[in-house]
Amino acid sequence: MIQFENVSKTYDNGFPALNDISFTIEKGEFVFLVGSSAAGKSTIIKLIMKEEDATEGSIMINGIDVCDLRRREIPYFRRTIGVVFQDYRLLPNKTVQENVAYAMEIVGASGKEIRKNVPNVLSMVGLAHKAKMYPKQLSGGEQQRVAIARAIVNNPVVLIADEPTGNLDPETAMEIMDILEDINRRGTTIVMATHAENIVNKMQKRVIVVEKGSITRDEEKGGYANVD
Amino acid sequence: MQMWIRNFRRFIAEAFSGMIKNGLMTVASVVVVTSCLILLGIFLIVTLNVNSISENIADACEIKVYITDEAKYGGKIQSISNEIKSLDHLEAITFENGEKSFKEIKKGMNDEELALFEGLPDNLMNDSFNITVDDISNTRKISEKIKQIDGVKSVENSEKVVTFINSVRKGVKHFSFWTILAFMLISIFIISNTVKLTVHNRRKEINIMKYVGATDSYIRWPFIIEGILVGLISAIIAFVLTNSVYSAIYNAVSHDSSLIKFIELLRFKDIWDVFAISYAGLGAVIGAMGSAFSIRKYLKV
Repeated sequence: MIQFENVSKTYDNGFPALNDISFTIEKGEFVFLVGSSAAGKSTIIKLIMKEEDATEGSIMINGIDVCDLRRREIPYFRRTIGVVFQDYRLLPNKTVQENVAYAMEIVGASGKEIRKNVPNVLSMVGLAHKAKMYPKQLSGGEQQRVAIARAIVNNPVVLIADEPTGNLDPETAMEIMDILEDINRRGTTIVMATHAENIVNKMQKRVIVVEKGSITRDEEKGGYANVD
Repeated sequence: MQMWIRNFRRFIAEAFSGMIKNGLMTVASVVVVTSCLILLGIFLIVTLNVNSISENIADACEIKVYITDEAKYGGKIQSISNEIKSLDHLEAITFENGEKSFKEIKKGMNDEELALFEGLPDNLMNDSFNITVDDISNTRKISEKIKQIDGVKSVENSEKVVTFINSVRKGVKHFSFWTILAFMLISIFIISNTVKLTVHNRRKEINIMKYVGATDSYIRWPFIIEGILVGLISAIIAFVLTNSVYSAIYNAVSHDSSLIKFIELLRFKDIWDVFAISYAGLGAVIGAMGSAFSIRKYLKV
């Protein structure tokens, strides 16, 4: 599903973000990427999204060699990946349902499909009753749920979440995690970068720890801190 | 094809909602484009009128060929006429009987003026030919040739006026070409900067669209259509303003009888199509190019 092989990334300013990392994530897995701020989590996500190019190594996502992607192929590639950010990134001028519908419009879905799928996915994240509201009228947790709805409306094979609970209180964060786990149970692979220790410990999923550009630990049903 | 139509409908909807939801920026852009178009319109008005006035003057600049009395009474008028007609670049030639024209002139006079001509013979004025040429630049050449003809007393051609008009027309032609070109470039520059502001405000939006997997053209089209709409709205406003202001000027000038006849302005209803086409065309081009230029750099995500 997601395969990093001997990947290194050095930014244009000379900062070595990743140093020869390799890992494989299988279809249907739920994986936490943990590590301190500049450890390289975000770089891994940017590489998966093809927002940055790897300096060395190869990256395969869903059978596609990301390093070989041409610029005009990138949008089509991104449609196979759902993405959720810490700051929600909703279109401020569109209502909740328009935000979700936009993701369907760009792939050329018909009005009929949109009218069918958008309410479905909104009720899945528990926001059917706020479909006509604008993002600024919603709480942080609600906005993040809209972002999740948008990310999954086109049935992506992978959902990438970059610190999705970073701006939320613990209770709301757990609600978001419930939704993500629900999505994972339906078969979507989830990769979530975070440094929310309690969440990682509670969920008991696979944990990949990145420190200073290298993977220092990769274990099934791991905790945030090393138990040794 | 079906997908294309579906997308196009969505682009138009996006463009309209973009215009409404970024209302202030839309108004600012419309003001800028309208001002640019009106400036352009002023140049158009000046150019068109200078051209038409100079043509009127040029048409009025006939060559007047006076015939000697010997030729007149010697029955040579026909042969002189034929000789003139054999020259190139003539457009029209008319014969003017000196006695008749003298009577005509006297008709327009009041008693006081008439008293001055009391007792003078009616054949005071020579017979003459009035000649118009195809282009006023040929006036001088033809006058020289006519002077050589036997029986021609004198030739009048207001040569200084002719050369002056010629140079004015040439000057206006060059001047208006370069100013219109310069105005187009300046307009595109101003518009792209104004749109850059709106796009800058919306760069987050564009960024999000890219993350969701929208292609460049899918993001770009609504902006370009929005630019075209802004251009067309501006064109309509500029057209209405030009019409009312120019018509007011026209009425003021044409009521002023002290201005001589050939400084007659063009009527707006005779030139409205020039304005409609150039405003709509330029407005749309400026709007579209402004949008396309300014959005380019934000698409590189």
